[in-house]
Amino acid sequence: MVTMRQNNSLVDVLTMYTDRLNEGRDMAAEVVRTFPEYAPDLAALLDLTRRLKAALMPVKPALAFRQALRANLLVARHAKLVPHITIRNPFRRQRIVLISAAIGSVVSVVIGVIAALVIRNRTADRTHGLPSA
Amino acid sequence: MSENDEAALVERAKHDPEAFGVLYETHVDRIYNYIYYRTGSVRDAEDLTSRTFFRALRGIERYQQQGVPFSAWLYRIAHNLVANWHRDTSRRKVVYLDELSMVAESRPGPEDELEFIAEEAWLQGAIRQLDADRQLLLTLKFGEGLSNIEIGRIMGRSEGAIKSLYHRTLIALKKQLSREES
Repeated sequence: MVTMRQNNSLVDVLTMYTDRLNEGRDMAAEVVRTFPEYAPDLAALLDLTRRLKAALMPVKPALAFRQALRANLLVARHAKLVPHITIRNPFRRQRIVLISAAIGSVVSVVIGVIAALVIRNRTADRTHGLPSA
Repeated sequence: MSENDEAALVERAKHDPEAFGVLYETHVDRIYNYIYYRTGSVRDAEDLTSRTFFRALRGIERYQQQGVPFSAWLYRIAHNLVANWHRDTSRRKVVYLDELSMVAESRPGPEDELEFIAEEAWLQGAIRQLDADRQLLLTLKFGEGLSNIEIGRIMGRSEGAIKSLYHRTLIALKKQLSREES
C-alpha cells in the first residue's frame, strides 16, 4: 500500500516527467532509476503517459473550414452591429396605429349595442301604453 | 499574447468585427482540438466548433473579465455544446473511414499504420469515457502542453488540485485499460 507521502511524491514525479515529455525529452529510464521505490507503479504510469501523448497529438481544423468559418463569423458580426446604429424599432408607429384602430372598433361596437338596447326598450314602453280593445 | 493584451483585444472585439476575427484565429485550433478528442469525429468537431464561436459571437458583449484566460470561457461554451451533443446523439461506435485516412496521413507513423491507428483509436475511446474535467485536463496537458498552473487558471483550480487530478486520472485510465485489455 502506497502511503500518502509517497503518493504526493509520485504525483510530483509524474508531473515532472510529463512536463519534460511535452518538451520533447523522454526521461523514463532516468526517472525509474531515480525512484526505485515506485518502480512497479511508476513504469506503468510512465508508459501510459507516453501513450497518451501519442494519442492526443494536436489536431488542427482543415484550412478551408477554418477560413470559411472566419468569413461567416465576420459577416454575422457586421450584420449584428448594423441594427444598433439605424432604426431602433421601425414597427412601433405601426403597432400604435393598429392598437388604436382596434380600440376604436370595440368602442363603436359597444355604442351600437347600447343604442340598440335603448331603442328596443323605448319601443316596448310604447306598446305597453296603448289602450285595450 | 499577454493577459493585458488579450483583455484589451476582448474589449475591442465587443464592437470591432476584425478584433473578434483575431480572437478567433488565436483560439480556433485549441477549441477544435478539444472538441475533436471529445467527439472523435472531424465532422462533429467542425460543427461544434462553428457553434462554439457563433455562441461566443452572440455573447461577447456580455463577457466580463474575471482574471482568467479568455480561452476558459470558450472551453466552457464548447464543453456545454459537447455535453448537449452527447445527450442528443445515441451512443454509436462508428468510425468514418475517410477520417481515419486523414488522421493517418497527418502523422509520421510506424510501418504498420493500421495497428498504430487502432491503438490510438482505442485509447482515445477510453479517454472519452472519462468525465469531462479529466478529458479537458488531458487535452490541455498533452494537446497544448500547458503546465499545471496554466491548466488550473483555465479550469478554476489550484496547481495542487490539478496535480492531484492528473494523478487520479492516470490511475483511473490505467485501471480502465487493464480491464479492457483483459
